[in-house]
Amino acid sequence: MLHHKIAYIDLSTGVVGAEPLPREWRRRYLGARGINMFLLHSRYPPVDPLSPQNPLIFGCGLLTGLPGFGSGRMNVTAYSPASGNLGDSNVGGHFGPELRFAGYDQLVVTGRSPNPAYLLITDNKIEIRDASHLWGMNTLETQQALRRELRHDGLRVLTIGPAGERGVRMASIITGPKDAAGRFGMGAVMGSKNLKAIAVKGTQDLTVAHPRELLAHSREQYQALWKRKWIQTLGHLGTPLLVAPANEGGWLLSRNDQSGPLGERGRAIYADSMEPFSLGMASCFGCTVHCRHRHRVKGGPHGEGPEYSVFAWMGANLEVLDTEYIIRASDLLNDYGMDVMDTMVVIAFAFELYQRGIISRSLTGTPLEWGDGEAVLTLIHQMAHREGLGDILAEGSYCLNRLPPEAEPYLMRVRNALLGPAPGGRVVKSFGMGHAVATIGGHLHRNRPGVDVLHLPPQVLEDLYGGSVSNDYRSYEGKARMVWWHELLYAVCDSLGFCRFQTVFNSPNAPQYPEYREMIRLALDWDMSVEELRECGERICTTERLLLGRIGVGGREHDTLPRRWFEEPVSEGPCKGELIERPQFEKFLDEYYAIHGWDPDGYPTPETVARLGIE
Amino acid sequence: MGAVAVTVRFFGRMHQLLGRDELEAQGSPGTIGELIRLLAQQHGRVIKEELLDEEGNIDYSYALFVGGERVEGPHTPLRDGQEVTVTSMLAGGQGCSTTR
Repeated sequence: MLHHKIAYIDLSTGVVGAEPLPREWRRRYLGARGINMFLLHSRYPPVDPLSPQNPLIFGCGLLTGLPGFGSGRMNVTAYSPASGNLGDSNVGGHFGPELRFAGYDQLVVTGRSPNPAYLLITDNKIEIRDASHLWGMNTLETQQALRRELRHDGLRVLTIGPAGERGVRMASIITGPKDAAGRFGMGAVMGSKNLKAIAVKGTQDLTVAHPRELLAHSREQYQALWKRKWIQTLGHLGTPLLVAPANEGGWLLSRNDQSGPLGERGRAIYADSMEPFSLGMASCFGCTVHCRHRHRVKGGPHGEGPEYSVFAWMGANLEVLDTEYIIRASDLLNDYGMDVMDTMVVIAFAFELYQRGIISRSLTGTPLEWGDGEAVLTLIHQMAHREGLGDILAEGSYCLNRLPPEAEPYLMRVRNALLGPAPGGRVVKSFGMGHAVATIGGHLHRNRPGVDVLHLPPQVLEDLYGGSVSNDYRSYEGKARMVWWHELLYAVCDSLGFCRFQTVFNSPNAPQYPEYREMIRLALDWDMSVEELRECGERICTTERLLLGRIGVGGREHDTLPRRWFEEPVSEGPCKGELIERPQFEKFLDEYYAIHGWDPDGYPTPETVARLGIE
Repeated sequence: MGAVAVTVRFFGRMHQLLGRDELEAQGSPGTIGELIRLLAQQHGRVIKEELLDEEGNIDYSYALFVGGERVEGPHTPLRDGQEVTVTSMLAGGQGCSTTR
């Protein structure tokens, strides 16, 4: 029997309760992100994200922990202190499966503990324990301390670091050396509740409807995947492999998105530069890919990563063309429990303000020159400890409240969220415009299309998307359909607990609805059609859109991009002159809303809400 | 046509497979396709097996650039002194056909 319990933990009162997770919720929202959003929409009206009333929801996917396509994943959801609106972060590693083995699919944490606390979860049991002795520890120290204290090497822990304790708005929640619920300040929410960590150990089996067939099917899928070059490449080089084509192709911009690609200088940070530091590759629970490096830098401990995001945001965007600095920064951010992207975006913003003379050494204390890795490390320390300029930058988007008004245009943000994987947004139109409509502002992983950068034959794209989509990444044609299609697929992928890297995120040949359908049938004996699964994706996306509307940022006027992307063309390189043209962007929005069944102002129509059966 | 000297820089998977990051094409390749076949003759079949698919097109697992421009296909012309860069992409596998 699969264990499907949802636990409610009130840290103010110390009351813990659990009840079965209704089957109806799972049929309609699957799990993880889907059920988290359902709960937020139906039970928890918007509140101050740092107040005790903000629910911090941990949700496992419908198939998390079972053999599948990278099924170690889960979502953490709350109102976001980073953006002031919707927050949601997907995290891999081993915690999600372990939580299910302990008997829980979802945890809803509310209130605020009077003293630092941690949760200990064992089979069907949740205890609130004192964490005073853990407060102040970094994320790896916390995990090690809990394993020692509880005498269990196999304990899986989600924890915040000093950044989350101090309310740094881009604070993350970490498990293992680097797996992060990174975006949108979920670590700050956890810190505001005085909740240092959640430790879990489960020993219960997840029995499934057709176990032998599921294992045989999974083995077959793994073997098929491993024959594919893109999986092998990812398994040897990790996500940094993308730095090379992005730079050579002219999408990878620099200096807070002001300047063109780095050309030959950029080659210093291609994936090949990891070779002296890499000790091999590691993976999340039950994953066939092994996409992250285990590394060691001189004088430092072992770590994992870094991912493409650090290479792009620190290496390219800050022009720190030194892989050792990139690794050190990545490790530091993981130790402090801070999101890589938000931190690097706000640091690049500070560098540009310094370049333009909007802030000076009287505030920064040190020159902020592009390429200065030491300055970046110093700012990370300052942000984590809320010292000097770091205290201002730790406010994320809200740092504008403490800076001169002329700083505003240089902060890259959408819907008040710092812009996620941005480089290339002006060049690859589907990437760029996808940022504007992502339900968690500025986060490309909500809908990253990607497939149009591969130069695939037009027929491949038409067959995949069910309509005409240009295979020229600079073209606008069909890109609304593309963004919509990926949005739905990723909502389903997240809600099943599967990994983006094993779906059409990376390759048109990767597993998607038909393979998911078969996994669900074998695991649960549910006969869900591809259309039903796609409708789950629609339901999740439209629920998120309704939430944005309730918060007050769900209309067309909020679906926009940084001014720079509309007004400043790429200055040099192969994509010189590229930007997002406003008339084309407005046409994109019209098409995108229509295909979703939303009105021209971007609000879901009553007919769409009724068709999807959203409460 | 005179001799064409072309330098090829390999990053990512091809760098790992070849154990080197640069090759000089000896001969007169007039196009990318000819260059790949020439390199395969001189430095090993793996170059052709990796970079071209069964139909002789550029395999979608790779992105090739000449002078900063993305290579559209094997017929892309080459000029003397140009540098070709070969990078890994996340795509393709098993032909990347219209049938999954």
